[in-house]
Amino acid sequence: MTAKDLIGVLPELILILAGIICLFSPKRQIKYLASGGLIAGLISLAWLPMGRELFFGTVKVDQFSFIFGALFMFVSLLIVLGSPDYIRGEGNETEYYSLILFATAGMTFVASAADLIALYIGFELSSLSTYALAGFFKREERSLEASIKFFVIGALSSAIALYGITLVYGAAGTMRIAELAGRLSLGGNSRLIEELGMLLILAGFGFKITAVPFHNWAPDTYEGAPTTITALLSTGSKKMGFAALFKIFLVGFIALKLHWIYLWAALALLTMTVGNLAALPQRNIKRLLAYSSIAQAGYIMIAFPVATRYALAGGIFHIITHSLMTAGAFLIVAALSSRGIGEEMEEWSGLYKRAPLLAFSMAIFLLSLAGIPPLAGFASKFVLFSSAVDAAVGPQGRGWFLWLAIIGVLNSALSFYYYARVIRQMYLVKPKDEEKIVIPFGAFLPVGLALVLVILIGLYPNPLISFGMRAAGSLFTSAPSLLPPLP
Amino acid sequence: MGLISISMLIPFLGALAILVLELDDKQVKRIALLATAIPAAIHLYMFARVGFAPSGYQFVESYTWIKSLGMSYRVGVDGISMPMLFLTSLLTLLVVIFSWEQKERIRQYFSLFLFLEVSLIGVFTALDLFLFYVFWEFVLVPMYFIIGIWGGPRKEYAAIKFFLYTFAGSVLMLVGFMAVYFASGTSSFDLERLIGARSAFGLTFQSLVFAALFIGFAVKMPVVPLHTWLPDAHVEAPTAGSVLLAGVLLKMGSYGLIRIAVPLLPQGAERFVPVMLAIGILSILYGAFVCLAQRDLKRLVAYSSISHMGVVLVGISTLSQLGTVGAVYMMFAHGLISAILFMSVGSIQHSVGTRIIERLGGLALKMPRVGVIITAGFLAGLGLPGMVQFAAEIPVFIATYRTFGVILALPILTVVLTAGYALWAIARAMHGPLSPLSTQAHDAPTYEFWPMLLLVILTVLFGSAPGLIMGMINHSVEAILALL
Repeated sequence: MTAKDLIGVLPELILILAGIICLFSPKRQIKYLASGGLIAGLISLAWLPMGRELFFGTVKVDQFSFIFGALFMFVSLLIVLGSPDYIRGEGNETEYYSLILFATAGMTFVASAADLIALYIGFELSSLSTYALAGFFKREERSLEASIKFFVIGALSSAIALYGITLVYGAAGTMRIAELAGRLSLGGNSRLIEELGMLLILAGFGFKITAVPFHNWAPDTYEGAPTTITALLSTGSKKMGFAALFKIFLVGFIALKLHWIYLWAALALLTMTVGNLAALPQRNIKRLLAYSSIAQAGYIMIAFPVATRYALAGGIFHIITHSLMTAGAFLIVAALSSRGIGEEMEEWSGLYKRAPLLAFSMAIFLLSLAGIPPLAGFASKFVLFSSAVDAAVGPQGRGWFLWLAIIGVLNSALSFYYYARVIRQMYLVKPKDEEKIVIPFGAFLPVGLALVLVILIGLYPNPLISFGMRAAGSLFTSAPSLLPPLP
Repeated sequence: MGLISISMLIPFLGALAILVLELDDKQVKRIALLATAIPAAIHLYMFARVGFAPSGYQFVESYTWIKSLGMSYRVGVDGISMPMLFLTSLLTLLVVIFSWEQKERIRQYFSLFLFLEVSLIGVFTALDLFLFYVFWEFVLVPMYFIIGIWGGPRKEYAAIKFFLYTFAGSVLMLVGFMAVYFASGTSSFDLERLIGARSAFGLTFQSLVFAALFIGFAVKMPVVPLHTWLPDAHVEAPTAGSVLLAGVLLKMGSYGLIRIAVPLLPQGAERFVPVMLAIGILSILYGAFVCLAQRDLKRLVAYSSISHMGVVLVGISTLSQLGTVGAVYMMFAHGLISAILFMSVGSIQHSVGTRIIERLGGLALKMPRVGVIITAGFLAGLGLPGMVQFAAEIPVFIATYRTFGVILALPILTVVLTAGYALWAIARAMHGPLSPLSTQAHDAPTYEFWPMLLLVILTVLFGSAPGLIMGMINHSVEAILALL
C-alpha cells in the first residue's frame, strides 16, 4: 500500500472522516459539516489517479468511477441541503447526517471497486446505513415498517448475492472482475455453477435496482421512509446497484453474454411496463414516484442487453438525469410536507397559486421524467432508446432490439398519464385554500439546483453524452480481450 | 442570428417577461400583442421575399448543437414552410387580439400562447430531424394547458386525451427518425444530408419506417381512424386554442409527410399510396357525414376539419406535382377558413351562451357582422370559386383523376356534402325565426370582429389571386419531387 493507493480512495476517506466527526459535533453545525464533507469529497475527485489499479488490484479509479462518485456525492449533497427543514424536531440529527455520509462513502466505493469482495463491502456499508435511515422517523409506524421490510428483504438479497459470488469464485478462481471475463465460460463442468452464480448475483443485486420481480419492497419502503431518504434510495442507492451490475455483467460476465442477453431484455421490458401500469392508479405522490422510479429503472436496464458503448453511455446518462429529476421531485414533496401539505394528491390542489415556484419546478421534473423535450430526461432517454435502434438496424444488428426501443417509447408515452395527473392537480384544479406557502430559501436551494441542471442538460446535453461515452469506454477497456463491438 | 431565430426569440422573451415581471393585466396584453405583432411582421417580410424569388431554403441558419451525435440547430424556409409560418404568426397575433377581454389567469394564458408560437415556428422551420422533433413534441405542452385550464366542462379529459394520443404517435415517429439516422450512416440528423443518403435504405426498411412516421403524422392531421382526440379537444378548447389547433397544429402532420416522410422514403411512400388514398377518402366522407348529424356548431366545424384534412392526404397520395401543390395550398386555405369558423362560433358562444344549432336561429338579425363572417367562412369552406379553398381543391381533384382515374368520384363528393352541411347549418343557426336565446344576443365586439374580417379578406385575396403563393409552393414541391 502506498500513498497513491490512499489518494485513490480519498473521497471515501473524506466522507467517512466527516461522518465520524459529525457524531461528535454540536447539533447546530452538523448540517454544515455534512455538506462541507460532501463538497470536499467532490473536490477531491480532481486528484484521483485515473486508470490506476490500487490496493493490489481491488480498486480501480477511472472515468466510470469518477462519474458515479461525482453523482453520488452530488445527490447526497442535494439531500443534505434539503434535510434540515424536513427533519427538524425529530432529534438524533447527528446519526442522520453521519449515516448519509457513510452510505455515500459505500456507494462511491462500489463505483471504484474492481474486485467482487471490495464491491460487496461497499454495497453493504451503504445498505446498512440506508436500512437505519429508512426507519429514522421512529415514532411513525410506517417508517418502521418501511425500514423492517427494506432490511429483511435487503439482508436476504445480500446473502443471495454473496452466495452467487462464492459460486462464481469457485468456477473462475478469481475475485477480480476484469479477470472473470477471461476465465468464465471456457466450457466444461463448471458451466452450471457459473450460470447459477450469475443468476444469484442478478437476483441479489436486482433487488437494489428494483428490477421486477424483485421490486415488491420498493413502493412500501419509498412511501414509508422519510422523504429525503426516499430520495437517497431512488437516486444514490438504486444507482449504486446499477454501477455494480454494469461492472459485473458488462465486464465480468461479458463472455456469458449470450446466456443473459434475453434475460436482461425480458427484465427491462417487464420492469418498465409493470412500473408504469402500477403507477397509473396511485393517489399518493410518493408512491406514484416510487413506481415511476421502478419504470425508469426498466429504461436504464436496456443498456444491459444492447451492451454497446453507446448504450452504456445512455444508461449512465439516464442514471444521472433520473437522479436529478427524482431527487428534485422528492425534495419538493419533503419541503411541502414540512409546511403541512401532505403526500395525497388532493392536498396539492391549485398549488400553482399557493407555491408557484415549487409547482413550476415539480411540473418541469415530471415533464422531464415523461421525456418531453427539451428537458434532460428526454435527452437521456433519446440516447438510451436510440442505442437499441442502433443495435437493431446496424450492420450485424439483431432486429428484435427494435422492440426494446418501441416498447420503451410507448411506455414513456403511457407514463405521461400519471405524471400529468400530478400536474393537473397543481395547475388545473382550483385550490381549496388560497393561503401562500412560504418555503425557506435553504429548502428551495437543492430543488433549484436540480431544476437548473435539468433544464440546462436538456438544452445542451453534449458534455454529458461525451462524458458518458468516455466512462462507458473506460469500463469496457477494463476487459481488453473481450471488447464488445463499438458503435 | 437570423430572422427566423429572432422571430422565435421575441415571443419567447415576451412569455418570460409576462411570467416573471410583476405586470398589471393591461401591460400583459400589450406585451403579448407586441410579441406576436413583431414576428408576424417579420414573417410577412420573409413571405414577400420568398414569394418574389423562390429558391431552395432561404434565411438558413446553422449552428452545431449536440456535436457527439450530429445534431444541429438548422432552420430555414422554402415555399412549403413559408405559408405555414405566415399562418402561425398571423393566427397567433389575431388570437391575442381576439382574446383581449380574457379575464381568468391571463398571465399564464398569454404566455402559453407565446410559447406555443415559438414551438410552432420551430416545427415549420427546422431542417434537422432532432430539432424538428423537439419542437414538435414541445407544442403539446402549452396546448395541454390551454385546453386543460380554459376549456369547457370536460376539459381535463380532452386535454389528456389530446396529449396521450399525439404523444404515442410521435414517439413511434421518433423511433423512425432514429432508424433513419443509424441506417443512413451519415452520423447527422440534417434532413438534406439524410435525403442525400437515402439510397442506403432498402425497400422493407423504407416501408417500415414510413409506417412509423405515417402513424405519427396521421394522428396529428388527424385522419380516420386516428381522429378521435380531435372532436373532444376542439369542443372543450377555448376559442383561441381551437383556432390554433385547427389552423396550425393540424398542418404539422401533413407538413411532416411532405417535408420529411415522402422525400426521405420515396419507395416507402409509393408502397403506402393505396393506404393513404383509402384513409384520405375515408376521412373526407366520414368527416362530412358526421358533420351532417351534428347539433353543436363547434363540433361541426371540428369534424369538417377531418374532412378537409382528408383532401390534403388525397393530394399527397398522388405523389404528383399538382396534387402536392394542391395539398399545401389546401393546408393554407384550411388554416384561414377554420380560423374564421372557430372565431365566429366563439363569438356566438360568448354572445348567446350556447352553440347548439337548434337553440340558435335568426341570429343574423341580432349579430349581422358575425352573420356575414360565418357565412363567408362556410362558403369558403364549401369551395366557392373566388375563395381560397376552391383554388386548392381543383388541383387536388385534377391530380387525383390523372393518377387514380374514376376513383375521383369518391373524394369529390365532399363538395356536395360540405355544401349540404354548411348551408344547412347557416340556415338553421343564422336565419329563420328568432329563437328565445337569440333575442338577447349582441353583435361581436370590435376586437373580435376585425381579426375575423381580416381573415375573410385574405381568403378572398388568396382565392382570387392564388398566384401570390402558388409560385413559391410550386417551386419547392418541384424541388422535392425532382428527388423521387
